[in-house]
Amino acid sequence: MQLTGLKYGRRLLDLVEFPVSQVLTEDASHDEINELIASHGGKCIVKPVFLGGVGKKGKAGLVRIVSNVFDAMVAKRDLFFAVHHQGNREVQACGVTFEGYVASDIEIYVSISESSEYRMPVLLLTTKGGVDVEDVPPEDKRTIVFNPVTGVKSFHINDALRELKCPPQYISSLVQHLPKLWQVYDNYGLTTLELNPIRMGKVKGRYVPFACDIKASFDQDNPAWKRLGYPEEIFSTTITQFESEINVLRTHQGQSDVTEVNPKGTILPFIFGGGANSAATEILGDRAIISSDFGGNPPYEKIRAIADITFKHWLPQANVVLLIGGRANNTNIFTTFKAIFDSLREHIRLNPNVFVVAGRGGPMVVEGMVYGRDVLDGLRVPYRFFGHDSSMMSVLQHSMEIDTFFQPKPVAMAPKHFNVIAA
Amino acid sequence: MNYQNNPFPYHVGVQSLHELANKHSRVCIMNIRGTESSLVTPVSHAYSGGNVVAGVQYGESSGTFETPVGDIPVFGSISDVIRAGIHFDTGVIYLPPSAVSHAVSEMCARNVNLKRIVIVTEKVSARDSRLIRYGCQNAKVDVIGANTLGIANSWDQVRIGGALGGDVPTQSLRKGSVAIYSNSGNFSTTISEYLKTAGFGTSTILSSGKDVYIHFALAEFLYCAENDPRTKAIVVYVEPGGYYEKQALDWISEGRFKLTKPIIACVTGRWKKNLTRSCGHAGAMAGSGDDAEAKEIWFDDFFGVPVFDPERPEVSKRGVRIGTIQDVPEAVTACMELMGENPDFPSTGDLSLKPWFVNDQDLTMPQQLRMHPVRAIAPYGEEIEKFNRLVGARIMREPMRNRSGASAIDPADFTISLHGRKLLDLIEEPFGAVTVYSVLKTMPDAGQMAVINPLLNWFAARGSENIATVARGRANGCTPNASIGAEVLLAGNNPLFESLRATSSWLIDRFFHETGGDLSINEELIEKACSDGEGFPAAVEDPRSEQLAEYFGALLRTHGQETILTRFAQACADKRRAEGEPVDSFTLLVSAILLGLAWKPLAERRIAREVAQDLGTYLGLNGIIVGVSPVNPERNPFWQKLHALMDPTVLSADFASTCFQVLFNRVPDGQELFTFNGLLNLTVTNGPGTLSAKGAKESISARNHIATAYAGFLANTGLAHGGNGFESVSYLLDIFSETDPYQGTPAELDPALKGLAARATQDFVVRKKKAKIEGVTERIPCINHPVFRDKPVNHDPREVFIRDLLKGKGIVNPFLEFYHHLVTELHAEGLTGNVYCVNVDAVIACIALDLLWKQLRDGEIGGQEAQEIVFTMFLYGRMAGVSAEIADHLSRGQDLDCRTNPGELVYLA
Repeated sequence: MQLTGLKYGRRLLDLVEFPVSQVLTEDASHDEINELIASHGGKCIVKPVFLGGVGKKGKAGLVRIVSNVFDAMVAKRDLFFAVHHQGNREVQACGVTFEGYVASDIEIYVSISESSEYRMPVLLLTTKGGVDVEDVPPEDKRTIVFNPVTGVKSFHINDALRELKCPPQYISSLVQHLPKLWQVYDNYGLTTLELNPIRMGKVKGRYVPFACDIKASFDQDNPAWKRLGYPEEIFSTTITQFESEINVLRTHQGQSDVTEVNPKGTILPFIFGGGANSAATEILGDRAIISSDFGGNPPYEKIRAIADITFKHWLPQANVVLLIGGRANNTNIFTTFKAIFDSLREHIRLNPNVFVVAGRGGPMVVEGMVYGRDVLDGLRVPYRFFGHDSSMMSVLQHSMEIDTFFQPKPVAMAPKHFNVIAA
Repeated sequence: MNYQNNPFPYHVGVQSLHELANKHSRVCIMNIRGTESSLVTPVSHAYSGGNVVAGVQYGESSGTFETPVGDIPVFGSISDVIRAGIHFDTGVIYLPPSAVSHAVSEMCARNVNLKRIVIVTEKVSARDSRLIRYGCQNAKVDVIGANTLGIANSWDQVRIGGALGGDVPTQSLRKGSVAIYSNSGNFSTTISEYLKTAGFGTSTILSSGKDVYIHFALAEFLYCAENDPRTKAIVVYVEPGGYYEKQALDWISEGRFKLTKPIIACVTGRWKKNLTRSCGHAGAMAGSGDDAEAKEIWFDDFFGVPVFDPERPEVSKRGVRIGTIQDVPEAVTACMELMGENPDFPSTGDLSLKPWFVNDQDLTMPQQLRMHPVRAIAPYGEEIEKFNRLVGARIMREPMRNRSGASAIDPADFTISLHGRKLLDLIEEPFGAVTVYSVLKTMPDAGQMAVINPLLNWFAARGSENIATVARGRANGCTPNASIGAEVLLAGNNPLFESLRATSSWLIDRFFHETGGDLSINEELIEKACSDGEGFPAAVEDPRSEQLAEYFGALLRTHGQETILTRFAQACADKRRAEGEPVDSFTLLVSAILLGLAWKPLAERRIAREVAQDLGTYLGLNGIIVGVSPVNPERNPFWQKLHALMDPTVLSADFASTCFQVLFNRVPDGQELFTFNGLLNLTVTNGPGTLSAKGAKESISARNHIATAYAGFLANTGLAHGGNGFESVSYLLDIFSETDPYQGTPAELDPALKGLAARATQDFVVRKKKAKIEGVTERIPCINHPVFRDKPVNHDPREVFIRDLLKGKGIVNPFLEFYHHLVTELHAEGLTGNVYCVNVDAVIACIALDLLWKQLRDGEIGGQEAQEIVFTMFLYGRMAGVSAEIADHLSRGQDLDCRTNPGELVYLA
């Protein structure tokens, strides 16, 4: 769960009275924009609003600096529904912000995150911000490791800024304001908080650090973020309808993590275990409709509900239903197989021409496979079940070969249509 | 042992892997009675020789937790454990996520001797993890996890924490020379399984967890592995996110600590770099520099050799990276060879594809994808064999109230299906075939029907023996369902049913596994089975048995329907007769024929064994219903012949024709037989909620005989249910009281029907007005439908299908055509908002009336008899559907599962 931009991000900073450049949303009037431009040295910045975690907007040319309402409106028109590509992910804007331009001869980058190197929270700071922090040479940035109970203190900031040779006129206000970020981070379940850039504006003759952009990641396993009162939909771009239905089932008893990989895929994998999730999704690639981890010994009701939702969404397009995992330690295979095959029996009318492949080991694996065999024989659905004495990777490869056999091909070569009879 | 100097800038309390978990470890488990602990702790405790010294369960002041090797004392807090004088060095936490950091604090605060904590819980927040880290570093306590499956020591047979090695840890955790460090708990065990195929066992296995915080990370593990004399190589499985591995490799390269043992590393999760939230392991979220590709490079640079290629295995003394965990055995072997080390034991099995269960059903797979089942490794192979010895489907029992595994209603068009085939598609199948299909889920073919029809007719002949019961009921004013039901009820588990069932069971035991589901004749097998008559069911000889056995034997030969079962039945009967042993050759042959029909669905596990054995009972009960149902038996020559059964050729008729002749006392013409057959098939079921079937299922749920359940079905029919179309028949008789639609030319028919419809409409106007004044509702039966009602002109697709089917055969049903004129007239007169559909009930009434019309007109039967005939027709059709529901319930239902929930019961004052 991530958010970027000041439209929603400023709420976090307002909690601790961290200064933020003035922000107007897409419904601002011409007068309001005029006033914003006038009060910020004749400039304002127009940015598209993306829900979820979206970075590198500037590099993509999606940030405009304008000096009049007309240009602001043009930028609004251009950026309101702007499309942005990140890796193989395409995201679309759903609005714009007009942000006051803060004239500054320095841009600060600051972030707080968990460090696997120190196994503590760290604050990363540079006075050469405004760019990707990875591009800043090591000598120009400082990592502050601090006590997670007492938090980051002013002296940490002061020491780092002095080492970075920050112009002295800015140090006092930064030392005053930056430690506040820890309160936000610690109290609201964040795993990353990044302000980039902070620009040093002047208020009543004193320098003030204005946050000009924000990125925040929230811990799914820490409910503290709910106290912020954000509307659920701001995280919605990262969660599809299918994922949100499954997420409702998220409890600590048994996993129910899913990600849509390719809504046009043809293999529907029920993956058990985090390791299998990582390995199987990698091998299946775009063939996989979803990536999932349903391990952790889920009770029947949970895996049944998961299977019901999964089949409802994806069975119609699947060539292969795949149940894959290593040799389970604790997950009861009979329970999980029974839940999935019971659900398949209920949903088989959505696509009777499916092939089932399973690769699994663990407690009650034979009972689970026998149950699956009996259900599938009743449905006349073809299947292959492999135990843990077959390589999981080979089972994955085999399921891909079967999927290939089912891919559209000239009619003469197409697999024979099954004569399916429901049990 | 002289260890290296502890090189870490933070607290690490162990020097060697062996110290992490061994036979001296003493464990206390928090939330010992939790769901997961309840399953895992007894196994761990037994495997580890009883190393759990105490459990804590909040809210419990004392008690014990049972395990196979003795009870574990349970306390309400850690303080209570300490006060009881129990010492432990390792804490295991099974609490829900929000309670974990508090439990860690409690353990650290209350037990000064605590050395490590294993946190099994998933989804502990990052904030709690950093507080745990801080607290445990100060308390000098090592933390494993969270989201770990713990630690296992295969040498000492100890596991601490979760379920490493599964429910039978001795199978996976075999003593050996390889240490495993894995971000995945499941892969910890899976890799140890894979290692065995190359002859390697394990020293210590650690499931590190893959949260954002990994408290006991790779650097610590490698350091401890180097100091562990049992360990000669280390398998590492890691995922994206975090710099733990880079730190470990950098420290080794920098000389912060020494590692002389090879690492076999697997990194997966390249695809995860596109994720914006975790899927699977919470910590497997990469930033820009710690994704899977970056980690692969870290390892490759460290090893100095490219990723392992099983075709050209190249490894360095530092180890090698593998692409997938399936390369673990070969890569470990290559590294060990380089080190001059041998496997720990002979290899066990391999990782090639070995399907335990295969069925391609009717799909023709290309050669390269074809597979055959392979016997599973011990002990699974024996377990599978045990299951395979069970014959037929095994279906989990579940409540069946208002549910059915036989019939269904398609929510899209409200069409009914039985065993996955729509009734509309079954219409043209011979009704006799449908009675078999209802039970066996498999439609007999034409060749089989050449034997099945006579067999069904024989059941009807046999069923007619006690028609006196029905005559008594009729004399007492019983409705057909009641009088027929009385005879059905008395059938109970009669000797015929019992004999057929016992013989079928005996035949299954003799032949099912021997033939592997193949019915081809095998003289050797027949000979063998003949010589082993052990347990042959007792038989009472029937005087007609020989004649009938001969007749059916000839039928089987003539129509090429002989099977190993029928040939055996004949050979066995001959042998027993020759030896003077009692045998009912015909019952034996009937059992063989029936079982032959059930053989394929049995082999395909589509039906349970009991269903196959009960087929004779179902068909026998159907025979009783047909056999005792003629309205005037004494005036029905066909029935008389059937009843007397002096000449077996009377059995040769199509079963639907037999039903027709029993009811109508005449031979049907081609069109009549077609419509009658279709009508029976159409009334087989009305879906899972069918009232008549409910009667049967409720009876079955009370554990009655099948005959009693049939009586339940019959008891649940009556004038309001089964007089299906009665109302409509009555209405149509009124309408056609002065018009014979079969008189006159076809050209005259349509205008006449239009005229009748117009008059019926006007009459309805008058009746409706009158009804309005009286405050009652007036309606015309069999038009309109709650679903097919919103278009300008509406159609019930089922009615359309049958009407078109009849038209295609050149059959015009005048009553049905009248109905179509009527709905148009009603709309034209403004009585309906749109043109109503003619619904499927009208079809049933119209066909029934069509069949009865001539006899009614000619006075051969009266209204009362017509009513009985229509009712009995309904019972014929429904008996097939009910047999399907009973067989389904017997296979998957539970005792008393059709009861109404007490919470739904209402008392009306």
